[in-house]
Amino acid sequence: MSDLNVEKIKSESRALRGTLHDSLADPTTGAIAPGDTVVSKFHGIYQQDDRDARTERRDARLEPLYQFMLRVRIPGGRVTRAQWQALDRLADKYANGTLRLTSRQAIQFHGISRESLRDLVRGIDAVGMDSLAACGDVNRNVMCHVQPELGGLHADTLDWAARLSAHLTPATAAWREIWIDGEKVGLEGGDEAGEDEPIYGRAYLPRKFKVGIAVPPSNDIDVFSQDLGFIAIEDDCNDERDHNHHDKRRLAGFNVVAGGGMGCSHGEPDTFPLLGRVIGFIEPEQMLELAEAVVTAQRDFGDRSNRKHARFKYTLDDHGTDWLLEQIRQRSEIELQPARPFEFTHSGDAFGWTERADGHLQCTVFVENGRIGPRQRAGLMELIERHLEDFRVTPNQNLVLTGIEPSSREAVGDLLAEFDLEGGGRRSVLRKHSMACVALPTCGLAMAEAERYLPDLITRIEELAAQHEIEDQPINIRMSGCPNGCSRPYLGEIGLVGRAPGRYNLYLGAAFNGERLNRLVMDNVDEAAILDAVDGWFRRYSAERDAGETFGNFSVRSGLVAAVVHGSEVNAPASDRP
Amino acid sequence: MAFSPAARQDLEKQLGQWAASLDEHQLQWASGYLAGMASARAGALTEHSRGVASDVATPTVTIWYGSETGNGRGVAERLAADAATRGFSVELASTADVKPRAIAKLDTLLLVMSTHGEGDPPEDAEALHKLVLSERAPRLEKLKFAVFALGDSSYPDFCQTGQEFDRRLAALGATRLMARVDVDVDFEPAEDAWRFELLETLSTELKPVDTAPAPHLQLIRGAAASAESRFDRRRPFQAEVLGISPLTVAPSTSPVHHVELLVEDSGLAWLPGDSLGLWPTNDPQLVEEIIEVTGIDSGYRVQRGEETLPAGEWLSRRLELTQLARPFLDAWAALSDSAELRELLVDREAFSGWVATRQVIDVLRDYPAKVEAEQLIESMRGIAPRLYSIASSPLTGDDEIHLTVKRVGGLDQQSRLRAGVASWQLTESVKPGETVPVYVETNPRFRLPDDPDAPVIMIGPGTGVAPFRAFVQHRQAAGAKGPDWLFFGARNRRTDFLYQIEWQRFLKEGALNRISVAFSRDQSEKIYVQDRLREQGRDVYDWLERGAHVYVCGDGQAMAADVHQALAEVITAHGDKTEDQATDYLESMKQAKRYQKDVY
Repeated sequence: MSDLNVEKIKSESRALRGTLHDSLADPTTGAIAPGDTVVSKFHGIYQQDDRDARTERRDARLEPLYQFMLRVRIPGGRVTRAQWQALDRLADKYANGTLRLTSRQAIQFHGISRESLRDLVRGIDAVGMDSLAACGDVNRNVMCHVQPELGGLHADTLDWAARLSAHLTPATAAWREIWIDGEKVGLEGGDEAGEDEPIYGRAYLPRKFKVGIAVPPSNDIDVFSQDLGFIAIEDDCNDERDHNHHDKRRLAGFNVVAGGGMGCSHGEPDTFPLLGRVIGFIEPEQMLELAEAVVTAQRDFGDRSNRKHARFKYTLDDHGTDWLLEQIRQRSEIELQPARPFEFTHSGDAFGWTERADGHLQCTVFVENGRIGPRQRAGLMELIERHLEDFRVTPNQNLVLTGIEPSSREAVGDLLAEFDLEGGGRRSVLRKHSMACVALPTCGLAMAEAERYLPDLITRIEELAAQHEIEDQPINIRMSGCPNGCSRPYLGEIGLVGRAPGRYNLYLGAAFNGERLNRLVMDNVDEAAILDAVDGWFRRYSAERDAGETFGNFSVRSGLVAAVVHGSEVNAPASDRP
Repeated sequence: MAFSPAARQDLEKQLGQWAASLDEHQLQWASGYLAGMASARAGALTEHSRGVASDVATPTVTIWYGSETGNGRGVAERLAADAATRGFSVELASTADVKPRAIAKLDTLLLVMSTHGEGDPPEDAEALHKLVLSERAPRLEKLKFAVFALGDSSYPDFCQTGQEFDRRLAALGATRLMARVDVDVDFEPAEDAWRFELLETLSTELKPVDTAPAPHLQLIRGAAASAESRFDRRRPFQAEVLGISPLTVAPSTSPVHHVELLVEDSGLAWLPGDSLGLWPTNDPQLVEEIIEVTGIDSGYRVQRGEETLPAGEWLSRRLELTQLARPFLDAWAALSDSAELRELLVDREAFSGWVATRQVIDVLRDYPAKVEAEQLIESMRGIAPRLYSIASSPLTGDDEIHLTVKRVGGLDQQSRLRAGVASWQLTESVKPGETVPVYVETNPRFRLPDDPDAPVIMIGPGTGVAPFRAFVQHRQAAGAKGPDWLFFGARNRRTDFLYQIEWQRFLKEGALNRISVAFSRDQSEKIYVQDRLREQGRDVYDWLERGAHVYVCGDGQAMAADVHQALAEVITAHGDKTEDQATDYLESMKQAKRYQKDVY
C-alpha cells in the first residue's frame, strides 16, 4: 500500500465508492483494483492473499490466491442468537469455515473469494450487522466491556458506547449501494461527496482512529492503547455503595484518555507505541461532542504527508495536551474538569462463572487466539440454541456466554468440555492470558507467525513456569506478526513482535493492568533464545517476588528492565537498561 | 532474377561435384530438399498454372493431400520430391486449395488422404469429399489414380475416408495405378515401400523423360517445405529440457504443465501455429510391468521389420504401449484364444469405449497368453510421435520452444501407471538437462494474418490457448498494431487459468487488448467460451466487420462446433442476417483464411 497515494484515493473516492463496482466484476483476476484495496477497507474488507501459496502460484504463472477478510463491526461486542446463527452459517458457506474474534471485539471472516463478498455482506445485513468502518481511516469498532448485567455503571457505559459508535459512523451510502443493492449508482462528481460526511469530510481521517471505554477496575479494553479512551467514573456522592447492590452505582462521567496507540516500524525510531494520557473529566452528556471535537482536530491537524506519522498519538505528542484542550474548547465549548481518581487491577479477562443480579449465570470462555474452528462452532451453536441469551466478544478475543439458568450450569459445562471449549480450569492461566494477532498466512503485513505459533510457544513457557513453580501466576503474553501491534504486544508483560520467519523482538516489563508499556530487551531472536531469557526471568521471579507482585512489575523493580516512561523508549537501545 | 547460362553452368559444376559424394538415397532426398527450399523462398505461394505443365514435355502427376495433423502432407511432400527426381512434372496441393471440380481435368492423381476422428474427412478435404461422393460427381474415365490412406487404428472406421475415395474414384470410371495402401500412425515403413512401388509403376505407365531439362515441381500455395532444417520427423532433434513447471495448482482436476525446450543450433524454424512433434519414451515402470506379465526376457534380441533390438528397447522406445489398436487386438485375440476379445472386436458399439479406457498392459494381464518375445513385439503397433502446439514465438529470440502439456491419466487406484505416454513423460518423468527427440510440424492452415494491422480474435479454452501465447508474443515482438482479443476458458479461475499473470502483463503492455474468460465451474451455471462470444456478440461482430481473423484451438470436437454455432448466431443477431447468410459469411471468412481452426 506504500506505493499508493492513499490521500488522493480517499479524496477522489466519491464517499468511499472508488471503482469497487467495476472491480468486483473483473473476470480476469480474483483481486480488486489497487486503489480499491484502500477504499474497501472503509467497508470492513481487506484484500489479502494466501501467503503459504504465493511461491507455488507464482511458479505456475498464476496470480496470488487473492482472498478477502471481512470484519463485522460489533460495538461493545454483543452478538444475538440470530446473528450468531447467521455468522456460523456464513462462515461455512462463503469463508474458510472459521470465525475470528478480534482484539477490538469484532468478528472476522477469512478466506472469502471476491465472488462471495456480496453474498456474505448481505448475509450479515440480514441480521442487522454491518462492516462499514470496521477498518480504514475512520473511527473503528468502539470497544467497551461486555457484561452490562454486572451493574448499572456497566449498562450505562455500554449504552454510551453504542451512541458514540453511531455518532462516529461515516454517513456515506456507499456500503449499502455497493454490497447490498449491487447497483452502480452514487455520486459522479467529487465535490458534493464530501458534504455527505459532516465529521470526516472528503478525505476522511489521516489514519485509523480507535475509541474504547473502560470500567475500572478492569482495563480489559486497554484504554491507554486507544486514540481516544474513556474511563467510566462512578458517582462518588454515593459513598455508602454496596457492591452487592449494583443498581445503586451511578455513572458520574468519564476521564478522557487521549493519544494512545500501538503501531510502529522496525528500525524507524521516529515511530513508537504510546500510552494515552489522561487529560481531564467530562460528564456523560458531553461525550459525543468531545469525541467529535477530538476526531475533527485530528482530521485537520493529523499528518497527511506521512502515514507512519499520521496516527493521533503523534499529533498529540507533537502538539501537546494544551493544544488539544484548546482545540476541544474551540470546537465544542467543553471545558474539561480535573480527572477523577480511578484504579485498574488487570487488563486480561476474568474467566469462569459469574452470577448476575437477576440470578442468571454468565461464563467467560477462553478462545485460543480468538479462532473459532468448525468444531468449536458446532459446540457454540449448540450452546446458544439451547442455553444462552447471547454471546459477547471480549477485548481479549474471548467469549462471554450470557443468561444461563442456574439449573443449566452443569449441562453448559458438559458441552464446553465436549467441544473442547474452556469454561473451567483445564488450560493454564498463562495460556488464558496470551493473545496473538492473525498474521500468516493471510495478513499481508506479517513478518513472522503469530496465531499459528503462539500456542506451541506457550506450551514451552508453561513448562518453564511449572519448573519454577509459578504456574498459577497470570502473565500477559502477547505476540504480533509485525510491529503494527494488533494484539497490543507493547502492553504484554512479555511481548513478541515478528521480525522474520521464526525470529522475534522480545519485550519485557509492561504492567499487568495496562498502565505501562514494555521495553525491547532482545532483538531478532529465535525460540531457543526467547526460552532461555524467559527461563532466567522466571527463576528470579519465583525466588525474589513480593507477595502479590505481578511479573511485569517485578521485572521493573528487580532491574531486569528499566521502566518505560515515554513510548519512544520502547524500542530504545539496550544500553538504556540499568 | 537474372540467371545467366554461365552462372547456370557454374552452379551445375558445383552441384555435380557435391552430388558425386552422395549415394542414391541421399541424392533423392537432397533433390526434394532443394525443391522445398526453392518453394519456401518463393513464399510457397506460387499460383497454380496448368499452362506451365502443358508446355513441358514431361507427364504431369498431380498429388493432392488431405491432412489433419501434417502427416499426410509429409507423405505427399516426400512423394512429390521423389517423383520430381524421376523426371515427372509434379503438381502438389492441399485439398483445401483446389477447386473440387478440377479433378475432372486431371490425368493422374495420387491422393494422400487422412481420416479424422470417427471416420470423417479432414476439414481441408471436406469439399472434395462431398463432391466426389455425391451424385453430382463428374465421370473420371481418363483419370489414373492411387490412394494412400492414413488413419489411426485405435479409432473405429480406420482409414475410412481414404477407402471411400478409393472406391468412389473407381466407381466413377477412374483406373487404379495400384491398390490402395492403408497405414496406421506408425506409417513410415509402409510409406517408403508404397512410394517406391508407386513410382516404379508410374515410370512404366507414364514414361517420364529422363533427359528432361529440369524436373518440374510445382507447389501450390500452402504446401510448405519441411526441409528447412536438417531435422524432421524421421531425423528428430535432441532438444534439451530446460524446465517443467505446473501451470495449475491443487485442487485442479486437470493438471497442465509448461515445458521449455532448448533448440539452439538445431536450425529448427517455426511460426506461431506450428506444432512440435515429440517421439516419446514409454515409462520404465510400464515396460517393466509388461515384461513381468508376459515373462519375456528384456535383453532378448528380436527382429521386427528390418531391425533387431533387445525386447526391452522395442518396448521402451519403439512400440505403442498406451493406446490400443485393432490390429494388436486382432492378434492378441488369436494368441490368447479369448472369446471375449473376439466378441469385442465385432461389437462396434462397445469397442470405442472399451479401447479408450484400456492400455496394452490391461489386455496382456486380463487375457493372458503364452507368447514368445517375437510374437509379442510383432503384434504391437509402432509408436507414433505426439504433436503439441508450440506456445512460444521464435521472435523472443531465446531459442526455446515452449509447450503447454495437459497430463492425460496418471496412476490408477493400484498405483499402476495408466497415462498418456508423452504427457506423462513431459510432466512427470523427464528431468531438466535430459533430451527429447523433436521436430517441427508446420501448420500453414493456422497462421497469423499477413497484415499486422488486422484484428485477431483467438478462441482457445484449456490447452487450446497454447498457440495464442505464441501469437501474442509474436505480434508484440513484431510490433503488430492490430488489436488482439483472447477468449479463454477453464474450470476454475483460481486453479486453472493458464498463463494468467502473462495475460495480465500482456494486457498492461497493450500486446493483448481484450480478454474474455469463461470459468465453467466458478458459478452454478456452466459458462463456456461460446457463451462469452454470444454475450459480447455486438463487439465480436464489429471486429469481424473490421476484418478480424478468427482462430479456434482446443481439444474436443464439441468446442469447435459450439464456437462455430455461436459465431453464426452472433453474425445473425448483430449483422441482421439470415442463418444461411451467416453460414456464407463464415464460409467466405474461411476462404479468405480469416477463420482458421486447430482442433485436436
